[in-house]
Amino acid sequence: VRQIHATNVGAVATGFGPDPLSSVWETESTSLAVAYFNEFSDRNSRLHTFVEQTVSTGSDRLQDIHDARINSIAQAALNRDTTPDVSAAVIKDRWEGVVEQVAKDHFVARLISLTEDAPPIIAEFDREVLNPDDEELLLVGSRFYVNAGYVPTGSNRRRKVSAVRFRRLPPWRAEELQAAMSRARKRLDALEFE
Amino acid sequence: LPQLEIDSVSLILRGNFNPAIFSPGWLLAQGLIGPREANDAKPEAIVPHVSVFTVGWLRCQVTDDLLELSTADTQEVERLRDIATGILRTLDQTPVSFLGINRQVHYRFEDERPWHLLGDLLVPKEHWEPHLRLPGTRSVAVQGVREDKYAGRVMVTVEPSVRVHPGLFIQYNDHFALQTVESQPTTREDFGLPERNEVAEVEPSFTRIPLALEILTDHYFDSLSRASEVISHLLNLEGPK
Repeated sequence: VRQIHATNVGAVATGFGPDPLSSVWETESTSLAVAYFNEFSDRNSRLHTFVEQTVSTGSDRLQDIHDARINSIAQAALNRDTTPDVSAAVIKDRWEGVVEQVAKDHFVARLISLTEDAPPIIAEFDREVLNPDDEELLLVGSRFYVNAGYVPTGSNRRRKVSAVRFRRLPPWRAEELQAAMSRARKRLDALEFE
Repeated sequence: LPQLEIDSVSLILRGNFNPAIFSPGWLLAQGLIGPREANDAKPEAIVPHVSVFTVGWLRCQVTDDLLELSTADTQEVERLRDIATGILRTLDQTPVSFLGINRQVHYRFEDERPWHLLGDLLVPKEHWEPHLRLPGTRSVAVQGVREDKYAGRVMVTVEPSVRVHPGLFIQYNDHFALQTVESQPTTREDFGLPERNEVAEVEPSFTRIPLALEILTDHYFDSLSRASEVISHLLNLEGPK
């Protein structure tokens, strides 16, 4: 896909180059690759079965073809651009929270700003704000992210957005905790008090 | 000002990976994504030497020598970092050599005049016009020295967007070779030395994982903030009065 270049497009441009036509080329070539990938995916299982049967009869050539086509699929997938066609949310404020209390319909957390140097705040959240996947993570001591911002909706209008997402990390191992303690001690020792 | 259309962050690790390990089910088993996210996953290619799939907000692409995690959802940049640290802590014997924290944005311009103006500011055309008819800027890449203790460099790339027109694509690549340096280059000559340059050989090793984790834990948000500053600066460039 990436070997397809737009040449001799003859576009008129000054500051930012002959981009419009080459954009079309790039988009089209990506689409072709994706179309090929999608189309081939449907037939892949049948082809695979066919190749396995054929290989068992001793045809290396078909195995080569199969491998080449698998590589083509993989390359198409690697080149696939899955960026959504929606305006990006502009996030203005981010916090990290630690759950302090859990009640039937809400929870209370201490929030530390990730965007400005401000003292922690205590906030109460409805459980309704949780993703269904995050319900099981709602425990005292759990950590989560909160962010708030807006999505431009055209004509100088904005739609407010916010999200609460619980952190998912592997449990700390003893050696990791020991290493963290060691780093903390070193930093403490390095501090000079007046 | 131009309108932000697409804002994505990607984390790229170079090293030696086993793509066959990586799947939505494996991320679920490690507790790095939720069950509904795993159920909604869209595999794009899970074949020998390549694994590519999307889990809602996350796109994961793994080959033998590269792991790329990316999101175009600005509300998930924190969890993107968590997924990367979770994978590194789980696969703590994986040899790694480089880490990239990248931010890519696409801005839409209202019309072509300011778009061309910015292209001309970045690459003045008077040097080109005697030799090229209607010269236009296709890509500008500028690198700078790191300002911390890590080997590597910072690279900013500006191009016309291929997603929006007239639009601008800016990529901020915070490139870490996973080793520390005693000092950073102070002259261009020093920066150009092979051992200072990105091509400097960094042997993949699992012993570099703690450094990768340290960078992700302590410097990830700083890196994204620096990207914002550079992007804002470029968008506010003004020509001579």
